[in-house]
Amino acid sequence: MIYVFRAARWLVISLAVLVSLFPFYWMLRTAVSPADEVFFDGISLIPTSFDWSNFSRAWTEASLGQAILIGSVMTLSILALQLITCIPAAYVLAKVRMRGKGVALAIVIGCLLVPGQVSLIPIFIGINSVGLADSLPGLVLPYMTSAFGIFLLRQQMMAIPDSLMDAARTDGLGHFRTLRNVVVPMAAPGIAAFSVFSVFTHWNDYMWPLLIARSPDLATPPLALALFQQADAGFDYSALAAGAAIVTAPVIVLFLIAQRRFVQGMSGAEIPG
Amino acid sequence: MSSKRLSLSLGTLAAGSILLSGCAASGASISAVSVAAAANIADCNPAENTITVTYGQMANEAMAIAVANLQKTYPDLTINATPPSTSNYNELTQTIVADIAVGNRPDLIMTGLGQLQFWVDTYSPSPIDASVLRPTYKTQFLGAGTVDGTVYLATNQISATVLLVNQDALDSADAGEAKDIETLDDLVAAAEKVSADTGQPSVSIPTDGLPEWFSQALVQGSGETYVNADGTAGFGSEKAIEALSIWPTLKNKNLELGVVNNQDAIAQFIGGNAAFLVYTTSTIATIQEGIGDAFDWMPVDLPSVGEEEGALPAGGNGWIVLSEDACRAAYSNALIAELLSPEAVAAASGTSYSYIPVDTEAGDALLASDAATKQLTYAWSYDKPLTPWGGFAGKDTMEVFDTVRLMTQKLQSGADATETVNETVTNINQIVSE
Repeated sequence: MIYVFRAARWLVISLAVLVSLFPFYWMLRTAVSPADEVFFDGISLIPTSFDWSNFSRAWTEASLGQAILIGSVMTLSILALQLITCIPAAYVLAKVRMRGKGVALAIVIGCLLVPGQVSLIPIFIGINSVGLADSLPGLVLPYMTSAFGIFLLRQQMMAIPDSLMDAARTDGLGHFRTLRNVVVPMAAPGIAAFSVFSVFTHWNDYMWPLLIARSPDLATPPLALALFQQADAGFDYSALAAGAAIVTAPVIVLFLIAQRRFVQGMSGAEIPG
Repeated sequence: MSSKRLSLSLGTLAAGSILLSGCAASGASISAVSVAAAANIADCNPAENTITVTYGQMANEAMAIAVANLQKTYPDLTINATPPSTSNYNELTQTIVADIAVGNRPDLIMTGLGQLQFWVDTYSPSPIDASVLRPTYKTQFLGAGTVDGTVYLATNQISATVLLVNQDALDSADAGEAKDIETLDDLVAAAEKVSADTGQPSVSIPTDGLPEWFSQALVQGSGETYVNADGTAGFGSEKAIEALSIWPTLKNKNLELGVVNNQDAIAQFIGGNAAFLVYTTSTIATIQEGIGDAFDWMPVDLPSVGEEEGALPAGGNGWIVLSEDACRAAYSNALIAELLSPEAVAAASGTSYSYIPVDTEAGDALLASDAATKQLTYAWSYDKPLTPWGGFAGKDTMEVFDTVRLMTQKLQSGADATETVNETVTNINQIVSE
């Protein structure tokens, strides 16, 4: 009987994996298909012929090399700034006794409830008024911290036993060294999970770069791909899929590297003691 | 440093982070600037002027040609012309409005023809100086850029609603020739034969991206009025309702595929599942590339009720001068003239996009080229008069278009045409009267 359950479990998992991966497979299939085969042989899993030029076309016409560079610099800068601001903020909210902490936490949670689109225009006006429109800092600065990051890391840090904090203080560690030597290593799964979230979000963000980055030299990967999805002329699906495959690759690699930590962070795995 | 001080520092950092995380809003004011009438260009010094142009990527080739040509005449003039990475006219308008809101007003912009009324009502653009246009420019298309008798927009890359027909599917069903489909009844009859042959619905008139344009084309193509002179909805007449009832007629006969999204509808046509697709001439080039030699197909005029032939609304885009400086407005008009030169128009309408050429010389050159397939020939030789797209007050444009979209989607799902259209007309009239 146990074998039947195991088989059923694997069957369900395999099915879920197949369903999840199929769109990704279809993107790759479209990416290697000639334009006139994208909509034909609709249920054929393997194209009858391969057109690898879609990749070179996507790379050159949409200047994907430049876009990936800009996207990487922007995403990593945002991540670095968010970690610098969110980790101490989360630490204070989780482990430091101070007046007004409850109010600060309520504001963080309140910020989580505000849709990003609401603050988009005020931030746009603010960034323009300080002359940072159409610049890399203009892409990065509005996201230098994250209410979601503060909350996620605060929850992770709450799970760290207070006795460890007391022990650190007994050993003469101040807040900074406690944060660096005790809290950060123990909150690493949460930090990794947030990092993956942050990178995915800003790598794929379309709306903010669309508003603030006007020069083609500043186009992020999603903006660069807009070249192949012109509503007025129809989509160039082959090049679009090839471009999507290229810009998806770095985040997939990142996810594979951070997979274990990410799962730990999201599942609230026990803090190693 | 004491632990209290550190707590304070970290607390301050936390509070700062929270404020920066999106709760703070800038109170910068948006100043209104009036548009200038163009000066005599001979009185302006190019070295002292920089013109800024915002446009969609579909004009890249034409812009490169136009900028190079204008700078031959005015080598000292600086032209900042870079397209934002937008994928449709709504996004383009959003970015331009956002720029204007923060004081970065472009001198010359591209806009979708459906948004002309919005620009005219909201930003009072400078009228186009038609005298700078070449004699080969097809002035009949300026009507699509005219509001209340004034030309505010120089039509550039334009398109018309069209019926795309899979001739092989017609042949297989013994349903006649694509060119013989002239009325909506002809379309239904042909679709019935094709669907009987395939056992599947065969027509797609998508209702997501361009529903107000398609419905305006159906109404005007049948000789009826879409927008009354007073800005109210004019499509409540019996004949207009009959034209719009094509959706429920097809649905109730199980002839409509029920595809809402434009790109999905194109995919159904290219894939051979939809034998009939109502779409735009500007996509003929893309569709041709997708179909290749898979089957024989033809664009034909949009069918109408009876044999009426009214002017269809123009799709596509054109140029509007928004400059608040007289000299920059003059140079913007000069750039428009270059954008509408035969060379630039040929590039703008060419094989990448299949827009209707707005210049006779460019049209002749395209038709004489090796690229002139019978499908592209339809787009490149289109010579019928076109009207402005929409026409409702600019402040109501988006709300009215949303109302029309809702109407078309109800009709597409088989709702009663008379009831649905009358309800929509009432709703639109209420919107425009507020």
